[in-house]
Amino acid sequence: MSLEVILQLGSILLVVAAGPLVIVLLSVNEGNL
Amino acid sequence: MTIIFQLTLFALIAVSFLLVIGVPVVFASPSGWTENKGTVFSGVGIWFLLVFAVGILNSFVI
Repeated sequence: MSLEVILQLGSILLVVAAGPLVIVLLSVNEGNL
Repeated sequence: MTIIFQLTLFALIAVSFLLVIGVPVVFASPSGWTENKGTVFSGVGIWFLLVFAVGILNSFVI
């Protein structure tokens, strides 16, 4: 796999992980889920 | 000039990622908005500055 494909997969991984990360942070912070 | 453009673009991506995660967490945290209002406004201001900086630097690179 070329470097560009790895960078694209890493980028989409960040985007996909952002949503659950918000949920996890709010549950830790005891926010208004 | 290319490295300045690339660093500015990376900063825009990093700040965008932080805002995408941070803004909903601040909104939904108990008393989060009143405590972190200044941080959110600073982040949004830096984000707009970076957008215009990338737009201007782009014309020097291409």
